[in-house]
This record gives sequence, structure tokens and C-alpha cells, in this order.
Amino acid sequence: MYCRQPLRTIETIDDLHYNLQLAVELEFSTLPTYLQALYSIKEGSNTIAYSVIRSVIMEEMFHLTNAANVLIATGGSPALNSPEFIPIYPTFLPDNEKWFEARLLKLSPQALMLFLAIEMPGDLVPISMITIGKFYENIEKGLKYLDEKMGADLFPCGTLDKQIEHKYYYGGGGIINKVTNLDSALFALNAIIAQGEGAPNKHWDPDKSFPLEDTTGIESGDHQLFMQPRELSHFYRFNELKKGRRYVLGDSHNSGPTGPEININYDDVYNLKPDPQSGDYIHYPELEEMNFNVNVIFSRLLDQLHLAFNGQPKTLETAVCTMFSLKEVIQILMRNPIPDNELGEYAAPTWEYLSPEERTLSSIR
Amino acid sequence: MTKCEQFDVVIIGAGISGAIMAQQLGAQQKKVLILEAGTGTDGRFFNNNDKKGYESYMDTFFTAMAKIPNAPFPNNPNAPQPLVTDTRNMSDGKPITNNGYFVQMGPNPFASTYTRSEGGTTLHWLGTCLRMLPEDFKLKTHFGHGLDWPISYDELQPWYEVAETMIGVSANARDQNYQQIDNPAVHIPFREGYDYPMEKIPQSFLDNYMNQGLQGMSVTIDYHHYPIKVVSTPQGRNGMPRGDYRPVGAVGNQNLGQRCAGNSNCVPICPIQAKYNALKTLAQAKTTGFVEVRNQCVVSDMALDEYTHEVKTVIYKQYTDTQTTDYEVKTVSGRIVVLAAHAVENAKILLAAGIANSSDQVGRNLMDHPTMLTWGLMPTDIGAFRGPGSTSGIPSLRGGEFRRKQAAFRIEIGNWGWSWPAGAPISTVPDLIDNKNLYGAELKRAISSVYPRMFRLGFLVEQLPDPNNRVTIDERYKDQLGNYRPVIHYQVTDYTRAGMAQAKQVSDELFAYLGVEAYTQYKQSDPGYVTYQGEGYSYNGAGHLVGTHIMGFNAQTSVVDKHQRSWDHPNLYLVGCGNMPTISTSNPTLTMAALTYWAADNVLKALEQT
Amino acid sequence: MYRLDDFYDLSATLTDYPVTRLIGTGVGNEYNQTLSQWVRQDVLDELYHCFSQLERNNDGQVCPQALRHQLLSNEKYGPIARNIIKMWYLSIWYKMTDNWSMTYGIPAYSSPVIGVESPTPEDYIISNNAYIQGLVWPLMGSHPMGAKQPGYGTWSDAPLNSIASIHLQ
Repeated sequence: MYCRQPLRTIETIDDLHYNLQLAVELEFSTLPTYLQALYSIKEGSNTIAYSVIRSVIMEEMFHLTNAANVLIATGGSPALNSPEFIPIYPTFLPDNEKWFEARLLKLSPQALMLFLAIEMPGDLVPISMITIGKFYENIEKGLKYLDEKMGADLFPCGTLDKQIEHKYYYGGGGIINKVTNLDSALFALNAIIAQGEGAPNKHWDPDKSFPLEDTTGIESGDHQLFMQPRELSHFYRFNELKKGRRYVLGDSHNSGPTGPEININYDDVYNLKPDPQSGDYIHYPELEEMNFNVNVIFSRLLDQLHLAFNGQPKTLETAVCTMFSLKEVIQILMRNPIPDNELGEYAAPTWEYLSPEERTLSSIR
Repeated sequence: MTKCEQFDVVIIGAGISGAIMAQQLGAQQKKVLILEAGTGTDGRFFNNNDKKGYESYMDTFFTAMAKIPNAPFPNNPNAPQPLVTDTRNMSDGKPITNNGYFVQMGPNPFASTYTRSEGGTTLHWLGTCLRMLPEDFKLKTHFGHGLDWPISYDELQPWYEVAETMIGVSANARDQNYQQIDNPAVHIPFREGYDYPMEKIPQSFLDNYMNQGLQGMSVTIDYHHYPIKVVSTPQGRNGMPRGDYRPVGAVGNQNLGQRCAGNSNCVPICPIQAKYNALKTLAQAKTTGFVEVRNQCVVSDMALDEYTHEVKTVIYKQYTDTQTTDYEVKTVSGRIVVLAAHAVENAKILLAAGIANSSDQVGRNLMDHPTMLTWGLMPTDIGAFRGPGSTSGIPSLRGGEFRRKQAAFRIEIGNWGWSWPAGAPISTVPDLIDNKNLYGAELKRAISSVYPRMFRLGFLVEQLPDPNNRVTIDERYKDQLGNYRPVIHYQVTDYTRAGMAQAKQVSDELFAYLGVEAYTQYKQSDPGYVTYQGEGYSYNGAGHLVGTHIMGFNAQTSVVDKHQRSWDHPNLYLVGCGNMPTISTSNPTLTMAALTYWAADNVLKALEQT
Repeated sequence: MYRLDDFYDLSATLTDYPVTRLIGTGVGNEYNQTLSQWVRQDVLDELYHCFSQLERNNDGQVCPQALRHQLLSNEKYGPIARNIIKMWYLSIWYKMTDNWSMTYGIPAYSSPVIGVESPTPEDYIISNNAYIQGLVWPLMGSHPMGAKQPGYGTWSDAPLNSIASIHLQ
């Protein structure tokens, strides 16, 4: 399905739109992976892991919004409601990072390894390998190039009302600013890089201590990029879970986290079937129907997000609520063991976009 | 009592008024100590091994059978707190001495409670942030009874704005000035161009249903017509920010609670802290670096300087845990002392210390909003049990000429069906199974066809200041640390009862207008059962404890002056709802917060003068 | 876990929810365990036997009349059946009458009960999570108060159109 070329220099507005659409797909494609692990956590257990993964997910939505705003501001239209928008897992990420596959896994050490790969800072991988950060830097380069070439035409008038404004976003770090020129576009993209992989990698020093307050280990001082208490980048937040310890003041990349322990109990997690496919439930009509219901709501969510980024920003509020009901139906599914499964695995959602015609139950019967 | 620590300001109580005071003073680099009687969470959201965080309150809440306002907060015999389940009907004339924290002398039971924990009662408040009407500040002048305030609406107005911004109130000024209501008595002037920091919280489906259904309705009192208008309620609850305003999330978990998510649990506890609580202001106070909060320190006494009459030292008992009575007596001193322990506790501390009472008004004029409920079934599904506890009200009868004879009231539209009047669904569903003999599909149908139609109104009726409604102390009644338990004398007088009767009349008309199937029932066994002109009504507590150390125009008739300073002791300030000479019809917290910002400003000036 | 499948089967008939929906609450085990804590095993065996007879006599479909006659009106089984329904809806174990407990229950039960600090014969909420999973909330078109937040502004939606209500079947 996805067959993308390695990072190519962006020379035309079409190249730019293509890459920004890819960015939107990229940000979204991590969500099923993170949400599968998040919802596999049994109610009331692993509260810190839950809150960390949730905080990353909220910021992925922030990134998606930033990328979409830049796309809208440069005259493009994000497309979110099509089967192609959602990959079939396991999958390479849309930015063509070929060195790992995104999967649908319960919360486990293996899942955390995957999360770390997704958020891996560019400085930690060989120069030839693509990371999300490098992908965005390539877009920034293209933006600068086109800005010089096209001047004011790069940011046509009349896009402001279509962009998402800050009041719709909450629950994570970052301020959404509308994009009107090169500076605001770069600001939006820089926020994505900094939150995901950590600070832009110009002067990266693995022994430099993180800007953390000494007690909390997770919140840190003000950072001008976000104008909010800054958190560790996603990579290091996941590393805290992987290592089972908080980073505290004085810790650096090389030191690893040395703070208080984080208790993670991998037994308080539903033993989900990895990378489930809808075919897995063909002999279990009740599970099939529940997974179908999940996909219906998931598809509705994508439709709402699509509308939100295509002229009806207020629909974003509704989409957040749809997200909550999605959680509910997913958790009901996940608590059901798959009958006759020798590994004692539980059912899990397949995250598929259904066209409106496919959303009647008869379509699976 | 070896050494006595010195602070610029010692504040007693870590609730909203103490937190505001500390934050304002800390921000000006004044060294502040807060002494809190209850336990606390020290800014933690999550539990950290044996140290409890905010989430521990949720655990307690989930498994509490009676989900009363204080259900989530630990029962702490070293700083006991009243519970709504402690009261009973007092028509037998016997005092309640051994059931709960309060000693109730009657003749009516006092039904309101408060929370003795770090963060105070804002941990379980609903978040309603109404301003008072201009006429509420001058009841005596306008209506010949009650008291006038030494401060006017116009003087307090800028402090309302400060309080609304700091609490984070969601509302639209164009709704809240009540200009749309054809009753000039309730109009509230707002500053031109002012608006709240966040947009109004969406009104519930029920609110909108009622707004449409009540179009054209009015009621008549003494030949005056009053229109019935549904108006959105201003709420200390995070919504959609205006401009550059940034909502404040949960303490210790900032990403949580930046917007209300509809947990429908504001009272007793918002799980995500989208609703304002004083822990937020305390956290801001602590980040100034000049404020220390000391939990588990119950103030028991204060000592005066013989010559200056200033409060020289504050004496408190610091206990190690809630399960034992081990404590140490300590003293601290501040250039200024601020009593912010809550209306009842402030009075208790002053009475125990025997100070600030040359007027003999300490403890007197205790008021609440006796809250009468009416309930029924709407003719159609109105989506009960969803959203914040109340998102709209009917303020039309908050003011008017009728206040010469009977109490004004505000009507609150409840979003949670019969949860208050009947404990639905938890207390009512067993009846369907045990007595109505329903199971399976029939039971499902019974629940899904009735519960979403459940509807209730609350009538918050004003009380006048009455010196006989009072908090006192008595050697015979002490808690296990040897501190006094409040002894309460309380009566709901005919002025208020007439208001309740009027409220019931309005409710009947409103139910008829909307076609509501009424289920309201006032039983003689209800704790708050009272009669007026032969009819029975029941009141509940609103949790609005007001007026135990009122401000006034002179030292003979009031406890504090306009600046919130004790008439008797130049370095003693009192804050909290106790300062309010009348309660009128607004939930008092916003007005109290505004007064506290004003008081903090006065304390700062006083500190700079000395 | 004592006769969990039988417990789900009986529960599905008593509540009219499919077994997958009941399993989907994630707290069926806790309810079943609670039942075993308060009801003697031989009494449970008889109850399940009685229920399976009702199923067998009518091709797997339990006749409502027979259920009332044989089970709900029975002085031994009726209180158990009603308590099972109440657990699913309200997540509460209601104390059986002393008389019933003496005859069919486990009155001497003394080890700690889940969710409460000391063993108590009074009504109690089975656990934090059980409270959240009570079936009464979605059935009312709502969500457990204090959990499963439906999202900002959902309370303005018409009850039937609410996206919060899509999973209420």
C-alpha cells in the first residue's frame, strides 16, 4: 500500500502539499499504535503509564493540527476520510522510515521499544535513516525555498477561517497559532520536532542535563516554544516508562533516568492479540460485530476530523467527544477473550475506515 | 513552646480565601505561612507510595455508598467535618449532640457542611460564580430589614473582575448583566467592554428545552408581573478560552482538566479538576517561593499584646496522623494574622481565644440558602444525568419589591435528574427489582424510559441576618484534640418560609406550563421540614455558610470594618463568607473571593506602612 | 473462578444483555467472586441446575413465566437472582436477610471483602472499577458519575442523537 520515495527535495507547491498531507497521515498513523496500548491497560491500574501515553497522544493531535494548519495556510486541503488514510498494521510509517514497522500491540516492553523507535531523535540514528524530525526538517527546507521563490503567494488569503484556532485544543503542551507567513509556519513545525524528539538537534549534547524541576520528574520549567510548563520530549517520556524510572534534575540522555521508580505492572493489561485483522473474528459473530461497531465510530471520527480541517473547525469539539465513545466501545471489545485461542489472547480493534455504505451491519453478514 | 517562628503574614486555613491571600502576598515577596487544620495532598495528583494524591479522593468516592458532598475526603477525627447525613428532624425539641461534628441546638437543624482539607470546600463546590445584585448591598435601605454593607457594588465591581479572572469563570457578560430580564431590580451593571476569561459553558439540553418551553411565561407577586427567564450560569469551570487566556489544568497533572469533559460529578469531586479548586491557587502561591503550607495544624488559640491589642502569637496543635491523637503545641507569629478558616471555624477560633468580640457579634448572624427542591418527570426525554450539575438558572426573582415581605430566591435547574431529591439511580433502581419485580427487557425499558426524563429544580431562598442564629462554643463539647466543636442555634424564620411558599407556587405554575408530572413530596420526617400557613415544605443545606463575623459601619455592631480588618485588633484580618452581612440570592464564593482580593490589597498596604 | 460460564449465562437472561457485553464490563469475575463469598456453593449448584433445566425444557430459550415460577419467586433462588441483577446495574452487593443467610448463605465469612477495609454484612460497592462499569449508567443515556467522561458540550446534544449514547444497546 504505502510505497513512498525516500525524502525528496521539495521544489514545487505540489511537492509541499504532498509532504504536508503525508505529515498529517504520519501523525495520525501513530495514534492507533499508541491507543491500542493505552486502552489495553486495565481500568485503574498503571496510572502513570496511562497518563504518559495519553499525554503523548494529545500532543500527536497537536502536531496533526499544526501540520494541517500549514497545509491549509499554503492553499492545500488535508484529506482524512478515506481508506488509504489509514494504513493496515503492521506498516512502515508514511514518511518512509523503513527501519521499523508500526504495530498494534498491548502495553508491553516490546510496545515501548516500538514507541521509542517512532519518537527516536535524529541524532541517535545513522544519518541515512529517516526519522520524523528529519522528515519535518525537509519540509521546513522546502517551505523556505518556496517562500523565497513565490513570496506572498505561498500563503494565499482566505485560509484563516479554515485553520484551527487555539481555543479548540487542550490537554497537552503547546499553543496553536494560525499560520500566516513563513515564520508562523516554521514555528508550528518546530513545535512538532521539539515535542517529539526533543530539542532541534543543532547543538545536541548527550551529557547536557534536561531542563527539569527537581521534584516532579515529568514537568519542567517554562519553555518559550510552548509557553506552558514544558514536558520531556516523547522519546524521553517513553524511555521513563521503558526504564521504569523518572528523569530528575541533572539527568541527561547519557545518564538515563535516575529518579523515583515508576511502577508498571504488565499483568494489569489485557492480553490483546497483536496486529489483529478483521478476518480474525470471522468465526465469532459477536466479536466481529463489536469490532465492526468500533470501526463505524472510528470512521465517524475521521469524517469529523476531515470536516474540522476542511472549513468547519468547530467539528473538532465533536470529534473529541467521538474519541471518548470510541474508547468505550474499544474497551468493551478488549475485555473479551477470543474463544478457543490457545495463547489466551483477547480481541482488539482493527482500526479500519469504512465508507458510509459499509457502515450497515449487513455489510459484514 | 521553645521558639516562635516569624512571618510577615500567618494565614489560618488553606481554602480559597487563604489561598488567594497567600498568592497575592507571596507574589509581592511577603513571607507567608498557611496553617491548615486538615490533611492535604501537597500538590500531588497521583499517589506516591504512602503519600496520597488527589486520585486517592476519587478512590474513596467510588466506593462510598453515600455519595454526599464530603464523601471523597477523609474522615479525620483530628479535624472533624460536618456531614449532611448527620442531621435529623428536630421537631422533638431535643438537641443533636452525639451525631457528627456539629452540636445542634435547633429549633431547626442547620443542614450545610464544609470540607476541612487542604483546598477546603472548593474541593466539592459546584463552581457557581454569580455576582450579587446592586440592591443586595443595601437591603436595610431598600426594604427596611437586614443590613446594609459598608461597601457598594460599584466599589466591589473591579474586584469581581479580578476574582473571575483568577478563578477562571466561563460565561458571557451580555447574559450575566440580566438586561434581558424585564425586572430592573435584578439588572447588574458590568464594565463596558468587559467579558469573562472563557466563553459560557454550553447550556444543557434541558436548559434549552426549558428556555423554549417557558417562552412567554411570567408570575405575579403583589400585582407585579415577573418574567420567567432561563439564563446560563457563570461557572468556575474550564471551557473555551477567550483571547490569550490559558485555562489552568489539574494540580500535579497540568494536561488534565484544561476543559470540562462532562464527568457529571462536580459535587462531590471533579476527577480532572476542570472545575476550579483552591489547590490551583495554592500551587500558584507556592511557586512564588514565599509561601509555605503546613497541613495538619489546628489553630486553637491566639495571644494578644497587652498594650497594642495586636495578635502576638498564633497557637496550634500539629498532629502526626489522623488515626492517633498525638500532637505537639507550637506557636508562630506574623506581623499580620489572617483568619481564613471558614465562617464557622473562624468564629470558633475567635470565641476560643476570646478576642475580636467587643461587638458580641462573633458567631452571630449565621446564614445559609435553605434550598427547597421540586421534582418530576418531563413529558419527554430531556437527557438527565449529563453534564455539570447545573448550567442554567432562573434569576428573575432574585430581586424586587416583594423583598419587603418575603425572601427572594434564585431557581437552579438541575442536570442530574433526581440524584439530589431521591438518590437516583443508585437508591431507586433496587425498588424496580425488589418490589416492582422487573428483570430483563422490562427492567431495561423501565429505566431507559423514565430516568432520562427525571427533572428537578432547586430554590435557593435567602435568609436575613439574625443574631440568634449563631455559632457558640461549650466546654462540654470538644473533639479528640480538645478543640471545640461548633454549637449551633438555627432557625428558619417566616420571611424565608414565605419565600419557600412563594417558590413552591412558582414551581407549581412552571410544572403546569411545561406539563411536568410532579413527584415532589415533603415529609414530616425530613430533617428540614417546616410549615408556613399550614403547608409543609422541606429545605436542604446549600453549603453556603455566611455571616458569622460580619463587616459593618462601626465597632459596636460588626466584627470587621470595610477593609476586612478586625475593629478590635489592628493586625488581624478576617476573610471568608463570614464577613458578608447578608446572603441574598447568589452563591457566596465569588463575592467572598472578590472581597478577599480587596482584603489582600489592604493587607499589602498595611504591611508597607509598618 | 467458580462456574463463571454458568454465572454469565444466568446473568444474560436476568439482565437481557448479551454475554459479550457483560464480559465487556471487565468486572464479571469480581461479581461472581462476590457471589461465592456470600452464597453457599451447594446453593449455587442448585441454582444453576434449576436454570439449566429451564433452558433445556424450552430449547435453550428460557420461558419468562417459568423463570418467575421456578426461580424469581423461589425463596431460596429469588434473592440471589435479584442480587445478581443489582450487581450488574449498580455494582453493589446488598446484604441478604439474616434469615436467608442463616439457611443458604455464608454468615461466618470473615476474610476481607474487596473494596472495603473490614468485612461487613452491610451493603457495599464491590470495587472502584465495578462502580464505573455499572450498567445502569449507559442505559439511562449517561455515564457513571465521575468516570467515562463523554466530552465537552455533550450535555447539550439531544439525548438520542448524543454521540455518547451510541454504545447503549
